[in-house]
Amino acid sequence: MNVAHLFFYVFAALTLLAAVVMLTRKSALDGAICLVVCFLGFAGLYAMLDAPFVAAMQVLVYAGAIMMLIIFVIMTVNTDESRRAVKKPVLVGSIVATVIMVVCMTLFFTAVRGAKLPSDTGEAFLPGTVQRVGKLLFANHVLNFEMISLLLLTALVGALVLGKRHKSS
Amino acid sequence: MPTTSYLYLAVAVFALGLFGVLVRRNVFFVLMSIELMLNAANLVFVVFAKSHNDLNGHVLAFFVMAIAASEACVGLAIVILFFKKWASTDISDAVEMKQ
Repeated sequence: MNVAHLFFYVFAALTLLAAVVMLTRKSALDGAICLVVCFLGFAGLYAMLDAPFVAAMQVLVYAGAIMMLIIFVIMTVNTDESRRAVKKPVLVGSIVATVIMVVCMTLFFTAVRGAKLPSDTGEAFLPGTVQRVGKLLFANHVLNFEMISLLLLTALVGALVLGKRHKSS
Repeated sequence: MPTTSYLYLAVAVFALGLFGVLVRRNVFFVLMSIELMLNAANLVFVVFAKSHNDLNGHVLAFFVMAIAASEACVGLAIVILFFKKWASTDISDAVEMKQ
C-alpha cells in the first residue's frame, strides 16, 4: 500500500463519514459544518486526481461561498427547533426511501462493475492546472462560459426579486 | 488508485444525498443533500477526465459548480420566503402554493 492509496482511503473515509454525520444531525447548523468537512474531503480527492484547479474551486466556491451562504441563511432564519415539537419522519416514507436508495446503489454498483473503462493509453495525464483548463475554457467553451455568467446574473436578480417582493406586498 | 474505487465512492455519496432528499424534512437538509449529489456527479466528471485523458471533464466540473452556486442562491431566497410565510423550515408545512 503506497502513500496515494493511503490518502485515497483517508479522504474517502472523511467524505463518507462527514456525509453520514451530516444526514443524521438534528440541527441544520451542525449539518452545514459537517458538509464543509465533506467538501474539503472532496477537494482532497480532486487534488489526488491531478485536478488542482477543480480542487481550488471546490474549496473556494463550495466550502467557501455556497456553504457560507447556507450558514448565513440558517442563522438568519434561526428556528428554535428545540422548543417546537420535532416531527418524526414518517416510518413508511423512511422505508420507501431506504428501498429506493438500496435499489439505486445496487444498480449503480453493477453498472460500475460491468463498465468497460478505457484502457490505459500509456500517455501521462497532464494535471488540470489553471493554465490548461483556462485555455480550454476560453478556446472551446467560451460560449458556455458566457452563458454561465448570464445564468449567475439571472440567479442574482431572481434572488433579489424573490427577497424584495414579500416586503412590498 | 483504480478508477472504480472513485466511482464506488461517488455512487455511495450520491445515494446518501438521495436518501437525505427523500427522508429529511428540514428544508436546509434537503438543499444540502442536493449539493452532496452534485458533488458526487462532479467527482465522476473529474475521475473520467483522468481515465480518458481529456481535460474537458474539469471544465464541466467547473460549470456544475457555477450552476450549484446559482441554485443555492435562488433556493435560499425561496427558503427565506418560505420561512416568512410559514415560520418554519419543515417542508411538510408547505401545504399550499398560494402566496
